[in-house]
Amino acid sequence: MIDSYVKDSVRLISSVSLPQSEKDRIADYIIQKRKARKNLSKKYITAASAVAVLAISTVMIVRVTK
Amino acid sequence: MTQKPIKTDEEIREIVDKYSSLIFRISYCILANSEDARDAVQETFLKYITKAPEFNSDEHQKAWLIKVATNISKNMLIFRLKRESISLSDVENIGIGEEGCETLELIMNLPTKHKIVMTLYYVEGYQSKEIAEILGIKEDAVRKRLQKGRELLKKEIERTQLL
Repeated sequence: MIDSYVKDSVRLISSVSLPQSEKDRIADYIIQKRKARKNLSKKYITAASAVAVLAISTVMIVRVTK
Repeated sequence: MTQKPIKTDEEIREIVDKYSSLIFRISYCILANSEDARDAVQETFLKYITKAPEFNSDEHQKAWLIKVATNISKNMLIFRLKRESISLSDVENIGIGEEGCETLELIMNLPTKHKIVMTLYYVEGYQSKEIAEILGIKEDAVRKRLQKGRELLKKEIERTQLL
């Protein structure tokens, strides 16, 4: 008797849930964060490319002027 | 069938919709506070999009999310030295009525390792072998935790009924 009550008590946890509005809020937050990460990556790639071009150009100029 | 990492906003909404309540339940069991559990859900999904793992199946994906949520919640718990008792307003926020408040308080007073195993077994329907794989412990340990958790909860229920 008490054993089934124990099991039923634990199953009460299955009622614990998030409302739809909260799920939507979390999804919006994750999507925003993902976009921010993507933009940051693009900026890093642009900056890294610029540095690479500058470095190659400098080497070329030094070689030509020697 | 291998599942590729999520690519679109729609896929993110789908995955949050499908698993957020499950993750919330696991985190709530560990943290016993709905605000902290919501933060843990957010952190879990952030890790999901950052790591962008590939999964063999839906079950593999679900197990990964449970494991990550468990670790995140346990880490959060380390920074919170003392838990306040469960408030009635908090219980209403998570979908449990006033009548379930006392029972939930008894469950929340169990040690974390027992609560997690009992939730996965009785609520999420996992077998002890699967729980052992998810939590990275031996199957024997899962069975012992289940048994001990049941005993502790039984004692608590009997004690409160005697009072």
